[in-house]
This record gives sequence, structure tokens and C-alpha cells, in this order.
Amino acid sequence: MLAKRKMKSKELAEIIGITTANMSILKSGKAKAIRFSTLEAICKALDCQPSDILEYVKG
Amino acid sequence: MKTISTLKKLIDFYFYFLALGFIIWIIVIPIMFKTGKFNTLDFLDDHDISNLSFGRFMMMILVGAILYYYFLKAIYLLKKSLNDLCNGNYFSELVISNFNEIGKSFLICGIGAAVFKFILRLVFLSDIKLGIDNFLIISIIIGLFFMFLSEVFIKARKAQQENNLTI
Repeated sequence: MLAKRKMKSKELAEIIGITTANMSILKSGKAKAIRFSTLEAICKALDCQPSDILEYVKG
Repeated sequence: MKTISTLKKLIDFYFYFLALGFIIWIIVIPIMFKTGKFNTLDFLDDHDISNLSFGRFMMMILVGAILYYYFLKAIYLLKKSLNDLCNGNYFSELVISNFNEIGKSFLICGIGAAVFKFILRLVFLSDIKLGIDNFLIISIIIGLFFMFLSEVFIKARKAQQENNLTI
């Protein structure tokens, strides 16, 4: 989605107000949970739906 | 925060007081044995231990010193843990392991002292006395409480890690 919007991780992190370290945790899938406010901010910044950035992987 | 810093000061003072007591004890015991005044140590109610052989006397002192060591160790670990707690590292690996060790030390100290008294009474007075000693009960309660606190802190640490990974 970042590539589609031609946006860098650092830029997105700045827009949604999280650190680059947290952004890399999000991208690597190491995050245990995500706040609705963060999800909302990402969707707003990327102009997309949560389903576009979330994926269920059978564990 | 004031509570923890007050507790830290108190534990610091208590530890040095105990350590000093231990050193004085080591110096005084041989002098007492030489002068034959060690009957005043009151190991076993009012039983006269002045006729004890040197070996038996040393055995008693050694067991007493081991128990004292465990008590001192518990206070030392508490003192060390309080440094972390004062700095706000509530659920650090050090605090968790120290609390577990403190619990074990208190248990060893309390149960050891009770067994020691029981054996002394059996050997010197040929008497069996089973009673609930205040020191024993309090040591077991404090020991188990610290061990439980350690388990709680492990859970708290996991919750904190999860919270840190909530973005």
C-alpha cells in the first residue's frame, strides 16, 4: 500500500505520529496489537480500508 | 515515590546494621568462648550450655551463622532490588529473580531456625516441643509472599511488553 501511494515508511510514521522504530515493528508483524486510533490514522494517511492493510494468517 | 525512597533508606540502614552485627558477632563469639561467658547467648531457653564441648559449640555457631547469612542475603537482595524499583524499573529481570531468591531465603531462614531449635531441645533437654513460633510463621508468610510477588511481576512484565508492542 505504501508503494502504491509512493510513500516512504518514515513519511507515514511522521504523518500518523509514531516513531520509525514502531513503524518497523508494525511492518515486520511483531506488533502484539494496534490501537484503533493508529489504524484510523494509517487508513486516513493511505486513503484505504483496514482490510487493505490487515491480513489473517493461519498460525 | 516518596514511599519507595523512604523504604530504600530504611533497608540500606538495616542492611549495614545487620552486617555490622554479623562482624561484631564473629569477633565476640571466640572471646566469649575463651572467657566461658557464652552461656549468656541464650540459645535454648535457660539451659546451661557452659559444659558444651568446643566441637558442639562450633556446630551451634556455624548453624546460627548460616541462618544469619540467609537473612542477611534476603535483606541484601531487597536492598539491590530497591535500586531498580527507585529508578522505575518495576518489572526488571533483576527484581523478579531477586524477589524469588528473597522468598526462598526467608523460607530457609524460618524453617531452618525452627528445625535448629527443635534439634537443640531434643539433644540438650531430651524434650520434644512442637509449637508455632512467631518467627517461623512470619518468615514463611514473608517468604511465600515474595515468591508470589515474583510470579505476579512475571505476569506484569509480560503485560508491559505487550503494552509496549501495542502501536
